[in-house]
Amino acid sequence: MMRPLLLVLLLLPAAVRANAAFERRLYADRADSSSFLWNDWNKFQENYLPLYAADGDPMTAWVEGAGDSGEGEWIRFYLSRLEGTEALRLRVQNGYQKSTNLYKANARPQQIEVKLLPSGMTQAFTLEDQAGWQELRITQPRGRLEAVELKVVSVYAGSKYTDLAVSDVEFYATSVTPDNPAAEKARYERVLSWKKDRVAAAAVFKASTGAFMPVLPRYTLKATGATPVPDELRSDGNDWIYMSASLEALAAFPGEPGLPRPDGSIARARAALTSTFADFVPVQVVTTDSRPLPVLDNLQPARLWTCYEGPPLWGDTSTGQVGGYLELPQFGKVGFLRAETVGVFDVKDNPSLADAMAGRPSQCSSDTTHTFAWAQMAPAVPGQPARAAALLTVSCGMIDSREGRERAVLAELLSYDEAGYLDLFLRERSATSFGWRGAGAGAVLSQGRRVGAWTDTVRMSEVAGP
Amino acid sequence: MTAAMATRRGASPSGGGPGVVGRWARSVGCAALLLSGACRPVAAELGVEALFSQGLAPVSLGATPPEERGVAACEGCHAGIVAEWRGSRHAAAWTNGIFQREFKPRPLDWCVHCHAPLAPAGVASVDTVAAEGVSCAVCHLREGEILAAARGDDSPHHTRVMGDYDSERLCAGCHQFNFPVVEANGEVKRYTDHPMQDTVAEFRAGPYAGLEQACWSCHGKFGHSLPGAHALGALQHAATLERCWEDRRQLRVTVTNSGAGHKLPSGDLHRHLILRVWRASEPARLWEAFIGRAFEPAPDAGKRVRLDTAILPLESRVWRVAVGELGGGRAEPVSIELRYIYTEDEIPTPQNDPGEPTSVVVHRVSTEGAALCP
Ligand code: HEC
Ligand code: HEC
Ligand code: HEC
Ligand code: HEC
Repeated sequence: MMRPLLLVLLLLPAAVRANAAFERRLYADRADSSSFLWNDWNKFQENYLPLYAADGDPMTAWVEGAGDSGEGEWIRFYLSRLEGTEALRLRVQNGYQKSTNLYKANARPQQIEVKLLPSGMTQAFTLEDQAGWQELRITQPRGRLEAVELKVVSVYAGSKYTDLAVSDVEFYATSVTPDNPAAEKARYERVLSWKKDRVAAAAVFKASTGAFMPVLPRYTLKATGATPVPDELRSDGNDWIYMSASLEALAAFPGEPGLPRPDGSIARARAALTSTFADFVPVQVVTTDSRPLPVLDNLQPARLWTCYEGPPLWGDTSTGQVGGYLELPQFGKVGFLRAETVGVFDVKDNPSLADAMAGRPSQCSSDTTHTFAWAQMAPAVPGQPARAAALLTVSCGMIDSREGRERAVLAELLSYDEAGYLDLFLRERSATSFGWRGAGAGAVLSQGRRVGAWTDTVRMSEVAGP
Repeated sequence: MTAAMATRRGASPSGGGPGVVGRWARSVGCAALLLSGACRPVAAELGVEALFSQGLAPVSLGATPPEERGVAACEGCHAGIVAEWRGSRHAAAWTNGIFQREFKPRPLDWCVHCHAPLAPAGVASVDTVAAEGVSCAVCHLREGEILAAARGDDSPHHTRVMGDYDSERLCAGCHQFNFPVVEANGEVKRYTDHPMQDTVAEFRAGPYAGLEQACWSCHGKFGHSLPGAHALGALQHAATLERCWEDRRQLRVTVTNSGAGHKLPSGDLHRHLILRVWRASEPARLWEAFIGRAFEPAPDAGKRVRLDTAILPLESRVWRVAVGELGGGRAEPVSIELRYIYTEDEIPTPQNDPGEPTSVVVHRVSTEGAALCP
């Protein structure tokens, strides 16, 4: 059946051909900058983040935010790691090219220094003071390319503002490595979906004018880290072993200004887990503030069935990097952030917790997710309505899986501090603590830390408001 | 059949050692007793199909002593075969990152029965021997006896020669099965009617059906290394890519299943190929065609095929691509790539990376030098 020639092919690795270098387009899906402009009237959508210079849209731009002329500011774009690269051609739309007026009103780079990373090859260029595309080309000895940095040396001053802008940059690398169009397309699509989330968040904030929003429009990633999971957390045990493991991993971190360790909630959760939620009563929960929580930079409502993998804890979504974010409860409603806006009503017909966790109730065989809830009530305060100290929810339903449809069950624990702010959120394999700024109805969630207990590491991501 | 093989085979029934003879005698007795229900047949005596349960149960070696179960027990005398096998996907069936990544979120015993068949009781019982995956003992050992297609003259073994050992029926024990019915507790006791892996049926329905030594005649060309979709040479042999110009605006691309005895792709449900056509200056405008199976939930259980664009043995599939849609300059050459993808997600997130390639480029050509189509 096989001819001898083909047999030889089977034995050998693919013929190694000497590739000639050729040019291909790359997309940046992540960008950093020395600063960016943050101002109030535009803060939710177009706060001039560096990634806007890589979105293929001249209407949006990176605008530096250093407050002076812009000299010395830099922007860095991360590209696909590409071995065997000899040159990079950049196409640049200088200044703010949304309109002719804005172009003139804002500053634009004049002399710039372009640096390739990791080679460190640097070359100086002078950009023309004109709208439209201009081209630069920089070479390096054949080797790896990961990122490119543009540093502003001198500027064309704006007629009205000192803010310096770059609308768009395109990247074309000359390399001997075969190109991978699907990977580049995926990177570009990530940038577009990041943009879409920002527009959607802006719409939520805009629709909420008048009503206070207890979250900030944007959070920045402060730290990530990993430590091995202690052996005792690895053991397979009851339904709650992973939640306990996550809780203990979080409890190992001390508090800090703005982000106290939620000791009260940790103690409550520990006791509840030990007694299998003995003093939680079956309830139905509703919230008086059902506005959806938007997807914000580094803070998002948990996706329902990310329970197995958990979302990544690494990386900063504000720079466009696929990566870590703090999770909010899956209900995705603003009202669940404060006990005061959560109404709980006793119910009689909840299944037992054990049955719910085993996915036994008939509701669990449906494609639509059903959530059962239990509450631990806060000590009654005379003259005040009863409120929950903690909520346990068990959601179940059929989800798509490798083998067909699979019954999935997911538990979440929300615990409120004495003032009724959500300060601890536990899922099967991650624990999040929140810090609040301000008091009463005007308080905002300003910091958080998430720890994930997977099989090998505890990872931590911390975000803080701007 | 070659003369040499005929001799080897002919030698087996009488050429066996006393153990083997005794064994056959006992089995005859057993067949008689079977009628009264007093004796359970040894699986191997029913033919190779009885060696495996399509994943419904672990592989039981019966009375085989523990020290004979591991590959180490064979290596001393069969070093060459063991070395081939180590390079096979069978050796990596349990340990490979692609399998582990899909197994871990939902660790069903059912998966263990095929990917680490010697583990007697699910994932917790996977010891170093079971972790060897589809090892020598899995195919060749039962009740302390060696199972084989023929017995060598110098063989020291108690060998049970099975007439259909080198037929596709052996491979069907794991390479042909339907979507399972997974019970609430994770157990799998029966199958749906919807094939999950259909490789052997594809073979039987195709032009190579009835071929002597079936699967082994091709995959066994390099002994026990059994090259398949994870061996680039085998893939390049199985799939041929041709291109030519219909006219100045249209490219004709042909993919032929030139060398696989079953569909291309075959096997695991996530396996697929993507044919891509693009210009390097405009990757976001690339043209793509999906080659493989797509599924939807089936009303009873499991999934059923929603779309099947896998290519039949010897079939050629033709696509026409309007290069104007690809962007880029007219003079810029067009690239064409056929890529084989092992997983659902070709480009995994860093957190979800299996630690081994999720895809491989089978063929890659450009339009430079492409002729007008005949
Ligand atoms: C997937 C099942 C399978 C596995 C696993 C397997 N074999 Fe085989 N083996 C076969 C088949 C089928 C044949 C018959 C091939 C033929 O007809 O030539 C065979 C033939 C043989 C033969 C006799 C023919 C020859 O090539 O000399 C030996 C010896 C052998 N195998 C040893 C081993 C050893 C040792 C291992 C472990 C490293 C192993 N096998 C793993 C299926 C398997
Ligand atoms: C002491 C050396 C030795 C060991 C250990 C050994 N074999 Fe063999 N085996 C042989 C020899 C010799 C032959 C005959 C080869 C021939 O005639 O071509 C053979 C033949 C075979 C055959 C072909 C059938 C037959 O009886 O001729 C199979 C299958 C096989 N061995 C499998 C195994 C497996 C599986 C193991 C490990 C569990 C193993 N062998 C361990 C020496 C050994
Ligand atoms: C005990 C179960 C079992 C039996 C019997 C079995 N296989 Fe496999 N085979 C597997 C598993 C499991 C894999 C996948 C390993 C992995 O995870 O990559 C596999 C993979 C392969 C591959 C690699 C495919 C690829 O895509 O790279 C080939 C080729 C193959 N088997 C051929 C055979 C042949 C030929 C036979 C019959 C002689 C056979 N197998 C019998 C379980 C089995
Ligand atoms: C009836 C036997 C059988 C069962 C049960 C089984 N598999 Fe497999 N699996 C195979 C075979 C055979 C292959 C190789 C297919 C091929 O290459 O053609 C394979 C391949 C795979 C692959 C592709 C591996 C690679 O190297 O590309 C993955 C992933 C996989 N199986 C996961 C699973 C998971 C998860 C389960 C349980 C939910 C499972 N399998 C249950 C037989 C089985």
